[in-house]
Amino acid sequence: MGSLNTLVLVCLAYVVLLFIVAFFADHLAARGKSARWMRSPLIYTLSLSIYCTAWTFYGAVGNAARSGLEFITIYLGPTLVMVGWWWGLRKLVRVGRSQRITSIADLLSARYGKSNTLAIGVTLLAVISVTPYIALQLQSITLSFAIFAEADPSSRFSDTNTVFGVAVGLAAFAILFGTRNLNANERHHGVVTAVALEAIVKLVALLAVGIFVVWGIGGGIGPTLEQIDRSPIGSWHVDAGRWSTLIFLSAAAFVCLPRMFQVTVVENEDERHLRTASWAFPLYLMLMSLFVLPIAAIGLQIMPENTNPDLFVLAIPLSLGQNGLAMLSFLGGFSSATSMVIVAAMALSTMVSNHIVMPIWLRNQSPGASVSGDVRNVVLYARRLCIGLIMALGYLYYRLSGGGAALVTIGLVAFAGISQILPALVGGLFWRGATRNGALAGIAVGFTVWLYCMLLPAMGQGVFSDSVMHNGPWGVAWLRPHALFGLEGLDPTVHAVFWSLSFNTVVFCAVSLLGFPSPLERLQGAQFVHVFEHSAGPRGWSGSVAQSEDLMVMSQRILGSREAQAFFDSERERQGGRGALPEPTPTFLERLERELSGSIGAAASHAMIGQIVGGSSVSVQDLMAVADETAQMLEYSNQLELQSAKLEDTARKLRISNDKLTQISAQKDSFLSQVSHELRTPMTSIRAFSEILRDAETMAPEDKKRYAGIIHDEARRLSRLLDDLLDLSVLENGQVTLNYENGDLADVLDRAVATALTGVAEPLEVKRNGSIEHVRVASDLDRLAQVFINLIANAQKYCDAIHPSLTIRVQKFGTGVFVDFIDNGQGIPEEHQQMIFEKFSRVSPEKAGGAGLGLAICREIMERLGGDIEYMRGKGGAAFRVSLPVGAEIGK
Amino acid sequence: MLPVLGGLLLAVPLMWPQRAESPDPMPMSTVLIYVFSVWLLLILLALFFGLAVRRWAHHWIDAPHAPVDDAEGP
Repeated sequence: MGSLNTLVLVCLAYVVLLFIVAFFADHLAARGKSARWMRSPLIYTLSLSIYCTAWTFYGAVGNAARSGLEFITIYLGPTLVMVGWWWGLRKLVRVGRSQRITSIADLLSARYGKSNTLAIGVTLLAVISVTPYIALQLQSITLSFAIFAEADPSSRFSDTNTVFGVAVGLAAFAILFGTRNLNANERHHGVVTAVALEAIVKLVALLAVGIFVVWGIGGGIGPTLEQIDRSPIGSWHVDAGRWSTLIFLSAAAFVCLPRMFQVTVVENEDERHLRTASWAFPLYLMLMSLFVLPIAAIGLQIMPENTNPDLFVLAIPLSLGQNGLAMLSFLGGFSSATSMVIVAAMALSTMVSNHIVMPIWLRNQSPGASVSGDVRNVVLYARRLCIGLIMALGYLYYRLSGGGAALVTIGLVAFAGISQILPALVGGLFWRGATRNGALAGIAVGFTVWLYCMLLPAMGQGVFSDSVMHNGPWGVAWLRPHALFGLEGLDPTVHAVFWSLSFNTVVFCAVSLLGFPSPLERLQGAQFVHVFEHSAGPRGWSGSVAQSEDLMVMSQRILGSREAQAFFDSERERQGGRGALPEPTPTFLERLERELSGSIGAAASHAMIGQIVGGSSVSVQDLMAVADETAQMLEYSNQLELQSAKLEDTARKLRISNDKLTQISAQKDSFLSQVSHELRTPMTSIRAFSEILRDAETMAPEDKKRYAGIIHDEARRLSRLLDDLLDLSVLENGQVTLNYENGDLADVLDRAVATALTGVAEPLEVKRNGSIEHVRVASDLDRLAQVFINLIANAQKYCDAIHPSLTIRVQKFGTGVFVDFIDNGQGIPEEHQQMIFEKFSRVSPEKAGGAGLGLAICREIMERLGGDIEYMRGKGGAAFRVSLPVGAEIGK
Repeated sequence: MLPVLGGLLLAVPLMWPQRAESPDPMPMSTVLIYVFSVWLLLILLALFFGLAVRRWAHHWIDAPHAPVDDAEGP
């Protein structure tokens, strides 16, 4: 009898071997030198075999012993999926690679507009349905230990300790190799290689037991087949519903199980591996199931009544003293369980950490405080913690459920649970109209029905009482968990699968059709459904120096040739490499990405490096991030442009006012000299003549009178000039008092014309249009007349026509009148038009008699009167328009 | 198309006389041989399909050598 200690030793040795293999593979992969065989389709095919867990290794025989050929459905489903790879799996793998998908939850979330809610839902669903499955593996390892313990009376075997030890050991293995580093594409060469080795071990073990049973006990193929026919399971008996449902269910689970998704899609090195796996994996499954029925039949025949048929694979060799074979068989079962648990824990931890832990952590993190390296560490710790947590959950479930139920039942419950993802998955891959809300609703409904019809009833007596099971909750018959809506007579599994998936699909489609997908969803939908048009070929991932060249070329374009060369040189020195270019290690890529992001923004640099190193297409989110950055830059540049336009405008205005100021200053200077001159001329003559008057002893009285007259005239001229200056100053300071009164515009004009032309030698001709001038205005009529006089006097003074004439035209407009003064001279030159209303401005000083204050005074007066005066261009001669409000009649 | 064929072929045994409904049920060995034959057939068909794909889907198979991702530079 094999001693338990030997078994434990062998077991530990096997685990150490797995460690070495995994470590070796990881080491090679990390150095980018992974051997050809490590990336061969064979390894890929073998890694798929984690589908065959302890449930299939032990449970298939048990299932066959209970229900005959039904066990085979579990293998037929995946076979059908694999042979149809061209339409289904190929698309899934392509999507997974081009979108850098890390888990099934990630896939669904990416498809439905990066919805984290959906990812959390799928993650929870996965954890809930896979935990029992992990418990199942723990149970099978424990059971197989127990069998050996029974055979070895000297041992002290403890169920609980074993389970605990096994759980801790598996968690350690998964943590060691599943979370050693954080790879962008989530590949784990070490684990995959170890899993492939385990796949060989379990196949060899089962085949060895099968060959021993068929040829060693049964006596060849023919006699064994006869024995099968004679055994209790010897005649064809299968429930048609169960048969097809189970094939469907296993096919669905093959695609949806997180661990299967991990090895099929995430760990896929090369899409073309599917081509080999499409026939090799079904072959593997066929070999795995080839001897199941013979073992079951012979076991039923030769083993004692009370033997658990689940453990025939172990018990038969043991009972016949074949310890070596039993040991091998044990290792087979052990391999099945460990590989499944490790990969499942890894896959689940990725999901939990990416979709639940990290979002929470990032939200609680103050923005800007995190560095890339920090996050990586946090992710790794989160994953490790999650693996531990998941294993603990599995262990707890095992302890709580007591580990009594037949293996196959738990397996099917898990399958049905995880299959709830199927409608959203298939819909997401093939139907662009599928929406996030549809997927969420479908999964939620399906999950609820599954929980109610399958998981809770399967958990034993504790959850649902007998009365609930038989009469429905609160006595409502159509709510019975096994006969929902009165659908009786179906097998419970078929019943639960039928209702949950039907509800799921119907709700998914209905909600999708009713709603409308968001833009991101539509984009992602198109990316997924038409993935073959959107992504590059099925090329493998490889780190090579060729990539460094590409990176170099890209960096040169972005950073500039010399800077890029310097950066690459320093990196190469840091790596201690001797080649021309540094190896594209993750550290290097990270630094390069940071370097580039300084120039082109984080998102764009990430997308570019991903494009070159990853070979995956740029995801929509990357593009959106790039678009965001570009939009920001555009906005900045727009703002800059606006600012500079404003500045330019201001500068232009400043220039204009500066010109004006300079002009005014020049005018002032010339006016001052003019004023001095004007003041000096009369002053000089006043002084001269007054001196003559004072000094002359004798003077004719008429001379005396003439001189006094000159002095008087000059004094008057002086006082007029001073009056003008005072007037203007008063007007400008707003200290003027206006004397409003009612009057006729025509009278004002009459007065003005008469005053302006009095005493003029050759008065110009004034043309007026008579009756229309009779407009009643309320204004300061004296001031108004002053303006008119000024304008008429100007025309008289400056009009250079041979027969000078002035047209005065009165026009009504709205609430006022225009009074236009147009002469027939040459008008005012363009360059002076701007200045004529300024003080001290004179168009032609040689002609002017005044000080250039007239028009300035006119403008001030008109502004005070609420009107305006302006120069009109293009009227032939000089033309001024006085606009004047009519004003309210000032009544008595 | 292979999965459909497989599904149909695997549904055939459902029509055979069963233990519960017929006094003369189909012996398990026959069913076993039938199921495994169908299985083997599917495997062989998939193998041939894989070989055929290698022939007619050049673009898919030769992709690694094609300049797929250099088409659009940075």
